[in-house]
Amino acid sequence: MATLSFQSVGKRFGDGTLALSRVDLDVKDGEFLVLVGPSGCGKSTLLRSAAGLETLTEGRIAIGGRDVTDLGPGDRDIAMVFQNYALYPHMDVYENMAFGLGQRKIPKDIIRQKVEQAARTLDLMPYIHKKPGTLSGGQRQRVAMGRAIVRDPQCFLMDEPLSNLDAKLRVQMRAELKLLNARLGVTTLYVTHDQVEAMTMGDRVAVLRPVSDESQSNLQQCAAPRELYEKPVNLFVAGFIGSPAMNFITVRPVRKGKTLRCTIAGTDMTLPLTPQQAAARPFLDQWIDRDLILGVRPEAFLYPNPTSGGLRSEVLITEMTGADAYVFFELRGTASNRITARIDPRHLPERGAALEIGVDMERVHFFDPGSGLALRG
Amino acid sequence: MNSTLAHRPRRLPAFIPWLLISPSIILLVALIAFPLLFALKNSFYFWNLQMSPTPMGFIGWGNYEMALSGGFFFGALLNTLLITVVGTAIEFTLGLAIALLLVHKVPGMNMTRALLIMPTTIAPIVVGFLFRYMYDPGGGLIPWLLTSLGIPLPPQGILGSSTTALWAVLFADIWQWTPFFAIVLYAGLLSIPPDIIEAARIDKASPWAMLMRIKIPLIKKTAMIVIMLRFMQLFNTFDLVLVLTKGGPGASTRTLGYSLYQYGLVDFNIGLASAMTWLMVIVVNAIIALLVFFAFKEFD
Repeated sequence: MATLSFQSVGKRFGDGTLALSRVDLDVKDGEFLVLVGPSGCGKSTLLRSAAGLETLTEGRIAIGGRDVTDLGPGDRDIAMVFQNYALYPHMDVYENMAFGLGQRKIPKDIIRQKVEQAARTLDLMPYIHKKPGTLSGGQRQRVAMGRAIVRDPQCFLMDEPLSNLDAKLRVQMRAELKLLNARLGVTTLYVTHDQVEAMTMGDRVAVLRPVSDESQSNLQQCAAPRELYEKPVNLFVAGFIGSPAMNFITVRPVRKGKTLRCTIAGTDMTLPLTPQQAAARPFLDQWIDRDLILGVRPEAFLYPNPTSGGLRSEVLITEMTGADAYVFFELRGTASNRITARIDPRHLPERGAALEIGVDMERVHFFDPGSGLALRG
Repeated sequence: MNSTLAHRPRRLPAFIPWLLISPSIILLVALIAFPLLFALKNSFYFWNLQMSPTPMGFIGWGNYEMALSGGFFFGALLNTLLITVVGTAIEFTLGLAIALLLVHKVPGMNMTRALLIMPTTIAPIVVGFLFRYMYDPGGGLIPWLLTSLGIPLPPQGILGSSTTALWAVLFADIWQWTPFFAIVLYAGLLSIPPDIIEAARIDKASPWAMLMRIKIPLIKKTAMIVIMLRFMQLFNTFDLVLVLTKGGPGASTRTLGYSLYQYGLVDFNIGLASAMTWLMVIVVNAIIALLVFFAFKEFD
């Protein structure tokens, strides 16, 4: 087991595309770290450079304190699980798992022992002499895992390993993978574009975004799932993590006597802050009469509205998922600003009905419209 | 409401399918079955076309005895097998080596690929003429090259010596058909999913293991099909022999294909040629059956 660390890693492809820039990231010993981000954010490139399948143009990579930047994929003591599993189609399950060990000149009886142990762990014994082509998606996925496990590597690299499974199996494999990681305690770097997968599986989650020049870094924030959700560092992370996404509204704080309230730009709607809420956000004083971006998660709306202010609109559509219901509405006076609010299904309004909805100012986020950075007290 | 179910077409009368495949059946019978059976009958007759327009007398196994005892058949069979087995093996090995080079994205590869296909587009008879000039002892390129390299040549010329003539025929074929293997195997190599190669790299596969245990098994189907195709083509080697050596010197470059031409269309010994045709049919079918059995047993 070992740490995996990226030190100011950069990668520019031959055609000039900048994939990675200034990425500093440490995956701790035994940690399950998830890389997440939209397509083109460099998450797969980062993983592949850890595997040695891509060469870096900048920076170093170390595994267990050993600099592996210039080593080939076979010499890094890592194992990788590919999106399409990349099983050898002409070999049976046993041979697929044994191949890497055989290439490392491990004695045959030890290989047998390791492969059979892994096959038992993953429930693959019934298929041990079948070819991958005859297995189901879930079974192939487990063979790919088995191939990684038998090697006892310093770290696992997983490139969207669940994305080819159907929804039900994916949820099931998610839990199995997590259990496996807890039992084996192997440092794992896991790439996904699915934020639910990221949030449910990662000990920590690193959010990446595409970069356009070398002065930027792909890495936006790396934190535990809860912190990422509750304390996003900027607009990108706030907008990317959470489903449905966070709503962004341009507001202007105004002080009227002792009370602080946020007016919605271009309307007479206001969101008042209680003295305690205002005291918890001292930075708002510097933003009086200046535009700010307010971030409201769908669950931070209050309906029916107990506050004195709030948003007024009409219900565009509603969505009922059973436990929750969502109301979609447009915010009058703000161009194409569609808002999603989660409400109690018992109070679900009619489509087209007038809506007055409050905002829990305790749970909102403020962002600097210039830099996009979160403002905190 | 009009139901589409009500408009289901009636079943076709039973004879329609037979009618539709009858043209192919008639062609097959006329062009393959009839000539084969005609040859089978003639193989038991003495018939020289220069002496008579019809078979001249039933002689039982006489033609077969002649073909098998006089060395007519076995000599040609041996030459044919040599050309076929050695030719296919060399063309496959060289073709694979070229294909492996082509996969690397080296500058100039597109041009190379385009040039490579060219020998294959030339008619074999033209290749024969080209090589006849290149082998010419009085100024051909190949004798000159070999002499400059200090390699001794037979005094009768490369095509004039029974020790080198067959290899010279083979070399011309290799020149023409190695690129064919290269192109087809290159396509096969391109069809290997890149992540499988990457998985093997992570598994620390040595270059040799990468080739023998990953790449070749993954292009095995493609390889078997070209090998069989070339095997059959080489078994019929005729045009190169006709242009380069006419089967000589002696019978040293006579292939089965050339022998049939010699006995049937030069000597007009239809009976003997028919008997050899049937011997060849038996040998070819046995070999093809073996190839198919070994090549495709695990795919079924």
